[in-house]
Amino acid sequence: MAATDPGGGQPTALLRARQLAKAYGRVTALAGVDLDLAEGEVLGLLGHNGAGKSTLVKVLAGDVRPDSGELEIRGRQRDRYDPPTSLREGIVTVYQDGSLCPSLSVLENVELYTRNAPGLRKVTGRRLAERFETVLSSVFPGHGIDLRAGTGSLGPGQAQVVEVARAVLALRGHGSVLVLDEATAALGPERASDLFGWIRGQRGSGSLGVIVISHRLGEITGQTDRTAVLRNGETIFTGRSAELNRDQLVELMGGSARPSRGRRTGAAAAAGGKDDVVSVRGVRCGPATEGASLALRGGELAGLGGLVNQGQRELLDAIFLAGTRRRRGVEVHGTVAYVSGDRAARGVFPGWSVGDNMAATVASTLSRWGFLQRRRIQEFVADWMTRLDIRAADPGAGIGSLSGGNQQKVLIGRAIGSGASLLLLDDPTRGVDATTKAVIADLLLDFVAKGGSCLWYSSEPEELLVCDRVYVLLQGKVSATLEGAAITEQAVIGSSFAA
Amino acid sequence: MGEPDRPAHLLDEAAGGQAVGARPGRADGLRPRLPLRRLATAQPTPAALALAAILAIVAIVTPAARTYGGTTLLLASFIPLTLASIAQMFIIAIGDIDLGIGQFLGLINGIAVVLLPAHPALGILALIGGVAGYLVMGLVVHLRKAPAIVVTLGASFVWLGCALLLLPAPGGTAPGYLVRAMNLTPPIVPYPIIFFVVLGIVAVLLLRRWRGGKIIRGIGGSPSGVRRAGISVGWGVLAAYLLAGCFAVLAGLAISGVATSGDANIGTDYTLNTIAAVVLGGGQLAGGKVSGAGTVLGALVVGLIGAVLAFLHIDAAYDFAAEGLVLLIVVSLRLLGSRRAVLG
Repeated sequence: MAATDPGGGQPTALLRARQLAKAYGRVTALAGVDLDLAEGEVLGLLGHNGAGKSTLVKVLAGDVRPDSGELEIRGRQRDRYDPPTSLREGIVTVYQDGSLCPSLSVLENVELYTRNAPGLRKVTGRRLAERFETVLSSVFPGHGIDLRAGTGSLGPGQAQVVEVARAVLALRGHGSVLVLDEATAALGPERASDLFGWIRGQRGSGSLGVIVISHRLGEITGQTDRTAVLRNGETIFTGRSAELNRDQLVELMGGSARPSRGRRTGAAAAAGGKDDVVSVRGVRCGPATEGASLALRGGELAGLGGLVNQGQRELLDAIFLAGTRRRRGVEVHGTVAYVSGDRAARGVFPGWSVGDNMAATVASTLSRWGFLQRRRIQEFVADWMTRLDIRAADPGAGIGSLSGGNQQKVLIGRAIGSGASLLLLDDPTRGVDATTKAVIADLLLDFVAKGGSCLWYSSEPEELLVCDRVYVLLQGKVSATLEGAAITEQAVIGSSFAA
Repeated sequence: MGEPDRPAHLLDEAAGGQAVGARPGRADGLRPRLPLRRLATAQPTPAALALAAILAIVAIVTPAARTYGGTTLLLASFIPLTLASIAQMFIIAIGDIDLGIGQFLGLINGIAVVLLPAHPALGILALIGGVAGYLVMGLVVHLRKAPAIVVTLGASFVWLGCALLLLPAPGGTAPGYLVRAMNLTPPIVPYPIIFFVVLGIVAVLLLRRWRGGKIIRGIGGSPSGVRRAGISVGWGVLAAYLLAGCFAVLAGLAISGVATSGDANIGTDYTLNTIAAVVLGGGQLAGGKVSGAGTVLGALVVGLIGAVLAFLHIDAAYDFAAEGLVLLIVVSLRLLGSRRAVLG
């Protein structure tokens, strides 16, 4: 069934969003998103990291209020809009990370959810169980789930099955919207195809609209009617899915084919060291059972790419832990230092001063008889603050007084200053201004030029162009290894998505 | 507005009877589990077994306890502990902990002994104020994101201070109706036993049948899951603290009826005992998983340990050690059991 243009009269527009904008402080999440969803239509939503997909979903679900822009549901403007209202309006969202309460049984989770759903308010107990079982079996035949079981005992695929089924149960009779935010990944291929089969079956009645966000380009091109591509918080393209191919989509998402600047000559890189500083073989960091494998030599700057939450952090954590204790599949030679981009939770010590944060790794080497040598620490801190160009700040000030970018510089300085030979970085440039990003890149280049090795995860493909080699992770395995001139934004983005 | 029709396509061939491809079972998907297995893995089971063991010891060692009068005497003193444990249970269910309940009991005791006999209206107002106090704690914990440990511990000093204002020294007499309420003598079955059964049923109904109970347990396990279902977490937190406050007030009144007089420090041992009772009964301090029946049984186990030691002529100083030991054993067994379930 072909999708017709919305606004052409028939069929009715379920959703109409114009110029939605949302900023969190200095970070712009949405810069002007337009969206149309017609009755009976399946719309695919695509975008790389930071494109604005998650924020858009939250706006539609009522979790987040846009700063400006219009949102119309079935032709009526919505102002006071919160999650219970969106559910009552028939907009049902399934997320990729668990929304179930582990302390409740499957049926109890369904009961909680359906209370706000139109028409299900009074349905409880045995009647609700019957209805839910009906929906479960019609969307996912042969599911084998015991409704009285505790949610904590469900396998990961089963939990997602429950979430999708309860969302389907909550759909209104007419004019509902089902939003699947990366919901198909956790379902597994069999169940995902069950779900799409059911969606195809709904087209006959023509009243359900579906929005699909997925990292599987095949799902987008094959299972949707139209596709919208987001980039930098804007809708930059909408078109019929049947007419789109993979390369077009990748290019639209921001992949330029410009090759890297060719950081170093082959000879210089080889002179860095012949032995592997770190070797990883088949380490599981996601759903893929074969795990990820990579290797790094001295003097190499390797990048990790891919969509967020594909196992990059788990891989970095595994390598870091292998530095201090034995771990199967990971061999690390030399000392390891970790720089986290999640500064508040995994990086800075919030109660300490800038100087104390900076010197945290070397304090013990700069001490005598267990007592800190204040003067030596001060010299160390002063030296690094100059190198990192944080001159303006007072080392005695609390670390919270520094901007995000400067805090990140402190964390990198602390890591390099510790004398480690391997640096692991988990998206350090998140939320950091452009100038500081350049400074950070220079720091890393300088580090590897002196013989150190670096494994750097960045959610922005553009930054990885300076690397010697880039491993793109997808669902916990390496989907592509790019070397030298082959490292382009387009290649990184392209291999971030499954076929 | 009437219920909109369920879309016909959702009730297609699968609705006829058996779902296509599903394992044979009831149409509502509630597969019956083997009764014995359900019993073995139920939350209250360890506490029930421990209680049975303790009662057996008591019955063997002390024939006097086997009579109607003996049982009543033995068990009546635990009524306040079971009520207070249920209060603690609601706080633990939401993922918090109440470190002030012992002192709160002293305050209610003071109100019962000083205010209720002479100024009943004022006394009742004060009791309502006590429940309101719990609501205020809930508001502070939720709105200011303050840790419950700190808030309830701080409140405990407020309760104690107010109690001492009412009762600078132990004394006074509890109202006659409270004492009589704790000493009923129904035929055949001793009053405490009836009370514990009713309390257990009420607790189970509140946790499992009442929608608010599900929300409370959901919040304890995953506040974001509850929020994603479109439910306000704040109301759930307040409901938990409100229930806890009500049961805590009832516990304070009960303790007044049992002790017949007042003492600001009457509840000092109660705080840790109620926590032990909830955990023994299958509750997890992380929140979400608590058992109504288990908590009542756990409270009885905790209370009876002291009695058992007395009957066995063991020094009362070993009370706390014995209680701790039982707690360690039960929790370890439960951890082993759940780990096997995860690995197996």
